[in-house]
Parts: sequence; C-alpha cells; structure tokens
Amino acid sequence: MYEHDVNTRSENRSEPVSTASSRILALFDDPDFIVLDGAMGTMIQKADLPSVRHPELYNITHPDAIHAIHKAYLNAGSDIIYANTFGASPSRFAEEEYSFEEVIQRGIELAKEAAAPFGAKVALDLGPLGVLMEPMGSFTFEQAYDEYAAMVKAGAKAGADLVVIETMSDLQETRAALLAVKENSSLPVMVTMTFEENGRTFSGTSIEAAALTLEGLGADAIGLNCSLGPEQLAPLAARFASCSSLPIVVKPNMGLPDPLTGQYHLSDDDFTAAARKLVQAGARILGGCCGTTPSTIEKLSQMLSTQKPIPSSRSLDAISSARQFCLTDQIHVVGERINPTGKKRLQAALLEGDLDYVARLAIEQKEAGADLLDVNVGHPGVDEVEMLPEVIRTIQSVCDLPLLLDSSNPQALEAGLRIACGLCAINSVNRSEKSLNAILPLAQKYGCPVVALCLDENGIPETVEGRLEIADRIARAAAHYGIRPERIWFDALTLTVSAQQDQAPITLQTITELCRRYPSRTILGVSNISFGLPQRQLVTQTFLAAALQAGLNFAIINPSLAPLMDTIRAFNVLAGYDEGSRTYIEHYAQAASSTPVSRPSASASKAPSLEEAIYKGLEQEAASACKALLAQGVQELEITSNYLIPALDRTGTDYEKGILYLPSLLQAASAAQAVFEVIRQSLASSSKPRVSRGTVVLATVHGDIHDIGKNIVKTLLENYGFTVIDLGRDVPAQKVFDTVKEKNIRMVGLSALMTTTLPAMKETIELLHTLENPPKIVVGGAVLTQEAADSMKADWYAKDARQTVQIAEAFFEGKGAPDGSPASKGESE
Amino acid sequence: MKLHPSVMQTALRYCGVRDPEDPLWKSRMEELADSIDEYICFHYAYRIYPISFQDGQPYIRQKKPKRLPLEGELARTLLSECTKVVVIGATLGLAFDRQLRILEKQNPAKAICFDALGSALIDRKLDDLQDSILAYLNDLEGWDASSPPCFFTDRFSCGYGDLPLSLQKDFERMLDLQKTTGIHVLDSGMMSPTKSVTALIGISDYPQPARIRGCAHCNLSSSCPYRKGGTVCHV
Repeated sequence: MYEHDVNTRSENRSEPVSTASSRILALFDDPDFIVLDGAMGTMIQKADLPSVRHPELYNITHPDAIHAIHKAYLNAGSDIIYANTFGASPSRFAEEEYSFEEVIQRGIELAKEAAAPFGAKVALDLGPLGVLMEPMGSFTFEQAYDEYAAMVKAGAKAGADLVVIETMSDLQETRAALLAVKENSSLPVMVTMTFEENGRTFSGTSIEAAALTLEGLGADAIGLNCSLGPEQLAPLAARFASCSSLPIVVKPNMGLPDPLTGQYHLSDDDFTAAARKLVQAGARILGGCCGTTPSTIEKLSQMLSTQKPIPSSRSLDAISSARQFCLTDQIHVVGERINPTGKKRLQAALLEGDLDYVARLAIEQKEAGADLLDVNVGHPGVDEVEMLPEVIRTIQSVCDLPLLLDSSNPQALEAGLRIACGLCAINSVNRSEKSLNAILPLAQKYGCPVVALCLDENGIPETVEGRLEIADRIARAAAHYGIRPERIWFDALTLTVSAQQDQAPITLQTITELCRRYPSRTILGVSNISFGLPQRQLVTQTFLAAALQAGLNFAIINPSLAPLMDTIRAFNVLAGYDEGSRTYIEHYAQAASSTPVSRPSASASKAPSLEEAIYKGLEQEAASACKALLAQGVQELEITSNYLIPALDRTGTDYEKGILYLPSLLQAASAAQAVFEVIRQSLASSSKPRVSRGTVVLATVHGDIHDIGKNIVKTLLENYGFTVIDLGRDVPAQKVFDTVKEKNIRMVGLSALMTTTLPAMKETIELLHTLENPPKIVVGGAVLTQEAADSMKADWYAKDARQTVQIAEAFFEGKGAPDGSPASKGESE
Repeated sequence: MKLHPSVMQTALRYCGVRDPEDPLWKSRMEELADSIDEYICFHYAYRIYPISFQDGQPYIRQKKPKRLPLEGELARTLLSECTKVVVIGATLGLAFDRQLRILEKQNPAKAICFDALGSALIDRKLDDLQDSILAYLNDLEGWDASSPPCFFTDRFSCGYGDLPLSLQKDFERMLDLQKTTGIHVLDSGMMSPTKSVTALIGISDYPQPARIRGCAHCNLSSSCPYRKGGTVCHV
C-alpha cells in the first residue's frame, strides 16, 4: 500500500495512450497547450456589483458585467472560458427568484456570445455543492448525483462545449458529478480538485487516488485548481502527470492571501515565471484561479506560446480507495473474511443488518495486514442489490483499503460500483457469454480491473490447456471492451486437494503459464485447498508458497492467520520485493521485542472470573471466561443474565458512586461486547435464535453531527441485551417516524448536542406522536434538561447512558417501573 | 507526539477522569497521544478586520455587507477598547473524525479518551496560533496608524456567553472556510470536522485583562464540581 512516491517501475504502468486522442485537446487543432480563463469571483468583486447570495444571479441581473469579464479573458488569450455557473445547483436556487436552469441557460449564452468571435469554447462550470457528504455528513451520493445531473442537462441544453468540474475536495462528490456528466451528456469533461501542499484534499484524498478514480470513470482531463500558487502546485502537478495518461490541468491561485488585506501576493510576472514549472511538471491545460485577472492570463498565454509540452506519462496500474492506492504488480493480500459462505456469524449479521460487525471485520483485516478487501454479501434472504452498497458505505467509513467487489449478480455489482469511492476491482467474470456480456461492460464503464475465472458453463477444465483456452477467450473479449490486459486478474481456481489431488499442480502450472503468456495479473482464493484435512493451515501455507513461486499476485486469504502472513512476508524477502528485507525486519524485530501493553490484560496467572474480567475491562479474558462457561454447558441466556448483567450493574453502580470513571465504564462495556460476540458466535453456530430484551431505535436528531454520546448509549444498551436500531446522526424526523412505523418500535432514544438542534428533536417527537400508537421517547444530550424534555413532551429525560439502560429495563420489563408519560424521570444534574 | 502536560490533563478531565494523575488512564491517554499526530492535519484561516461601535456595540467593518454586528454583552465588554478583531477558523481535520469512528467500533473507552484529547488539542493549537499571530502583528512595521505593540483580548467563540452562534455562518463566508480549511458550518451551527473552532480575538492598543478565562469569570463558578473538590478545571 502506498501513500504516494510513485516510482517509475515500468511494470506498474500501462502502455501510453496518446493525449492527442483526448477529447479536450480534440476541441482544438491538437494544440500544444490550452489556455483557460482566470478568476471569475475576483473580477466580480472588482466590478463592485450589488451584494447577492449567489453570484450566478448576475447572469440575469448584470449580464453586461459577466459578458465583459468573459471578453476580457478572451482578449487575454483564453481558449476555454468557464461560464458563470459554478454554484448554480437546484438546491441553492430553490428559493431564488430565478431557477437554476434559467441561470445556467443565461450563463452559457453570455459566455457563448463572448466566445464566438474568438473561436473559443465554453465550459459549463460545476463546483462543490457546499454540502457535507456521507460518511462525515448526511448528503448521499445519489442526492449529489441528482443535483449535478440537473445542472448538466441544463448546461448541455444551453449549448456548452464541455463541462468542467472544479475546486472539488470530496472524491465521492466529484465522482457523483463526473458520473452525472457521463450519463447525462456526451460532452468532454475536465475535473480539477483542490489539494493542500501535502498532496491531499481536505477529505484526505491523495493525488494518485484521485487520478486513478477519475481516469477510471472516464474524465478527459484531470488536475488541480485553487488553494495554492503555481510554485506550490508544481510538484503536485508532477505527481498527477506521473500517474495518468490524460492531459493535466492546473489553475493556481495568485499565491496566498494576506490576512490583513485579503489581497493575493504574486504579481503577474511572478505567477507566469512560476507557471513555467507547471509546464515542466507536465501540465498542458493552464489558467488561473483566485486572485488572477485578465492581465495574468495574458502573460500566461504569452509564456505558453514559447513552450513545448512534456510528453504524457502512462496510467498507473493500480486500484484505490479514496485515500490509498495499491499497485497491482508484486504480491498483495486480499482479505477474505467479508464473505458469508460458511460463516454463520456473518450470515446472521447480514440478515439482521448488523453492519457494525462487518465494519469490525474490515478494521481487523486491515490491522492484520490486508492490502485490499474482498466484499461479498451473497446469502439466501439477503438482497444483494441493496446490501452490497450498504456494506461498502459501512466499510469505507472506517477502512481505507481498496475493495474487490465480489458478486455473481451484475445488478448488485453495478449498485456497488456506483457507490464505492475509489477505483475498485470486480470479482468476477467467467467465460460464459452471459457473464462476459454482463460484467465486461461494467468493468469498462467504471474503469475497473476484473477477476477472470478460468471456467465456463461446463465448469472448471481439468487441464492446464483447458483453463488457458478460457483465459484466452476472456482476454480477447475484454480487449473488445477496451479493457487493458493489466486490468485482467486471472484466477486459475483452487480445488480441494482432499477431493481432487491431481488438480493442485494443474492450478499452479496454470498460474505459471498465465504469467508467461499475458501481461495480466493473477489472483487465487487459497484457503479452499485444505478443506477436509487435519492441520489445514499447513497445507494452505505450503500451497500459498507454491502459488507465490508460480507467480501469484493476489492471495485471497484470512490475514488474521499469522502463518499465512508469515509466508507472504518471507516470500517477499526471497523474491526481492521487500527491498533490504525492511518490512520483514520491521515486523518481526518489533514482534520479538514487543510486550502486549496495548490491551488491558490480567497480570495474575490465574484467569479472572467472567464478572471480574468485565469489571476490570479485560476483553480477551472476558471472552475466554465466557467460552469456558459455554464449554461447561452453561446456556447463552444464563451467561447473560447470571454473569454479564450483574457485572455490568456493579460497574454502573461504582461509576455512579464515583469509584469508576466514564472510560472505565466503557472499558467494561468493551469487555461485555467481547462476551456478546462469543455468545453470538455460539448462537449462530447452533442456529439458536438470539433473545432480545427489546428493540430501541436511536438517532441523533437532524442537523446534529456529534454522536459519541449516542454511541455510548448504544453500546450500553447492547451490553444489556437490547437490540438497537441505530439510525446514525443528522437523522431527519421522517426517517425516525418511518422506521418506528415500519418495525412497530416501542421505544425511541433521541440525542442532541446543541440548542440549535433542539427544535429538530421537538419536531421528531411531534411527528412520532402523530402515530396511532406512538412509542415511548427518551431524550438526552449535552443541552437537554428535565424541563426541556417536559416541554417537548418526551417521556423521559436520561442524564447519561446508564440511566437510559435503567429506563429501558423498566419500560420493557417493569424493573423500577417508570410509568411512561412523563413520570419517573431521570434526575437532572 | 509529545503533548503538553496541560493538554493531557485537560483531556483526562474532559472524559470524566477527575484525578489527572490517575495512573491507569494517564498511561492510556499517553498511548493515544503517541500516535495522534497521524490523525491531525491542522488547518486554519484568519483575517483581521477593523471594528467600529454603534451605541457601544461593536460591529465588523467589511466590504459586503458593510457591517457585521457583534451582538451581546460579551462582545461589547471584550472589545470595548479594541480597534480591530482577528476572525479565526481552525480544525484538526477529517482524519481525526475518521479515526474516532474506527475507535468507536473497536473500543468505546479509547474513543472517548481520543475525543477528549482532540478537544484539548485544538484549544492548545489555537493558543499557539494566537501567539504566532500576535508575534506576526508586532513584527510588522507600520501596518497601520496604531503601530506596535498591539494587545489581544481573550479569545472567544460563537455560542459562548451571549455571542450568537449564528455568526458562525458569517465567519464561514468571510474566511471562505470550506475552501481554505475544509470546515463546513451546518445550518445548526455545528461544524465538520468535529474538532473545529471559530473564534474572535480583539486587538487593542492597550493591555487587555483576562475577562473570561479563570474561575472569577465563569458562569459555573458557584456550582463547579472541581471547585467544590478543591481544584480547578483549567490548568
């Protein structure tokens, strides 16, 4: 896995694609450079127009001023001008006098009128929506897509020559915009994102991840704009150029603004001198952003007329998440654990919608050393088309490894590819016509590598030649879709050695031959080899070593199995991939010297009892003690009621007395979670139903994005055996209402941190009270008081998580008996 | 990352550990502090604006809109001897929130400690930033008629005391915070990333007393559990 520092190993790069074929360059007569315009905002400020909320309104209220700005840039030498449509989104203009369509229509018209005499082109300009996207915010990919799609349709209808997506910071929002352009117009599209000096956007996207994702999705030119001056952007532009075959666009600021005056510090000459470095870095499409003016563009244009472009680079052969990328040569570990086949605990989690479990699997695999994660949710009773995107969202909110989307359902794959941020790979296509026709178009559309299984309608050939013949047919079909050979990851297929012993060498020989014949990659699910044998790990480990020797690139394994990871690290040393054995030494030297200090652990030699382990927050000891009780024949339910809950009660009481601090209470909760995990595994493996003490819907109300308090409540409620439906944060009242109605929920917990979000809490309660049989509602959060809870007609106020548990126990089981409508309230602090 | 002891102590207090020398939680907090650097990308933006007064109430003078009133007694008192204000927006960045989310899934106790550490750290970073802005201004020669030295008031934020939270949206616009720092101010006034702050500091020609820092200036001084226990909440 790489942060950046792309080296120039030729094997990581695809064959060069001539940028002459770029649809942006093709707008002109194969120019050396394209000159863009400079800042619109700076010029509007200079024009001293009356203050408005959205400067795109000037297209209608002050068209002459906007026309004059365009004309000034065209006179200065701009080949492409950006229409004044940057923020003209449907939601921003919902309450304006003019619609976004009118503003875009007029904006494009003005630009076209100005551009016509110059033979220049006009871009529909799309900026960020000003919203906070998932997972940090609540604006969804589809909402963003809809906003951009409406703008694209309006811009295309108005006659824009191309589309520019610029000043983007969030890669997922950028993907939504780009996909909206591709699916709603046939216009060429340039995409520029805003990077900090460290080569990352504010949301953490690296240049390589951006380049891979945007090129994969079909951008015609990519690059950066805003944030910094040309000097600072030059090394970042070079990184862009080194990993993409597309023309590179750069629109820098006029340096940095002075905090006293707000003025940018570079002169036109300084800007132009520094812009030469952008040319040397590989930029071919240049203009200016904040602070630049027509005189800047004039000087830039003059300078460019004396320069020759640097030949374009080749695309990086890699996949990525929003933050990290992974080159596809050498050896990589694909975590296999997010696949319900044969895993009852995961099956149960998917059926129950317990995505926290999936999130933990992702985190664990990353920590164990996986480079990418296979994601498969196929199981009877699970709607893959709905579940795959949900699982991807969950994983990507906590784990930044690239993903391998694994499904035999093309609709599910497309739903997943649409939502997955970064450049994923598809697992898998096979030789059957049905599969080729369904999967390869997806790989083409999303620019993804695809796993190619060496099998067809008749199954897996038993000979090397048979498998190679299939590989060849798939490679030819992929080429038909423009999929490069490096983007095909052949799977020679593992068969169980205990059943078909002769097939293990066939698999290995096929890998060797595939590596010899194609510049493609190879991938293999390794674990299946040892099924049915004792000491499985020995066989799996040996087979893995043999497959690596045969040339395997991607090993699909359980990275938590140390011997398999040991084999990979050792092989990387022997094959020379781990230069100077650095990774190996770092890992094993550390392992040899480290002592387990990171996790609370019992120092006494005698294992603590379950209650003691929970009280002290000793996760592993608590899990072990629970396993020991199960082994003695104690029933799961008995463990919960006789051991776990009394231990939690003791912890809670000591917390209330001030003997334990809040973190200690939570550490005990973690230990209890570990016990619950053992109990759930046990119930799942014996197909016993899980017993719930009651179901509670939890939500942090609309407008409120701080949810650590709500999450503590969730943890404790789950500890005590309640089922929690966690709707998350910033939850609209309607979503709470719909969930309660659909699932006939009897208790709801609402949280708010700030006074400004109390109205949203009140609104949610009022809406819930319109139900024929409204649920009981408990409220909490930093600004809540008993009085506030009463005035909103909540049933209870809980001062903390522990009290919420007591209320839930009383409500569902009559313990301590709160009588509901507002009585038996929690004490306020 | 070696954090200042005051940051560690503040963080412990924020997450409910009343004894800052508690060996168990002190060591766990230190463990988190060791790697916190990986998850911090401190971004800030600030501008200095002139202020004027109408009937004793300050307002920021800018181009558009020309006046931004700073309502309430807090602004009135703190800025009474000032000619300018520094408007700041700063954040620890989104990587912190992301790591917090991961810790919440893994270990809620660690998560709450990490959260507290972030809260303490952003405040400390703003203290350092404030010092550097003051040094910068006092190094400038003749940046306006009121030549150096200049003096800062206490730093204060929207939603604190009676300074309206709604100002946060104005600060977002004035500093173009989404573009310059990645901070989003939601309609509720909340900010993302969560460890983000906007603040005002008055600039005066005269030394400014501490008006809101310290027990004497705190609204909770009469009911403060720390004072009752013979300690203070600040370090």
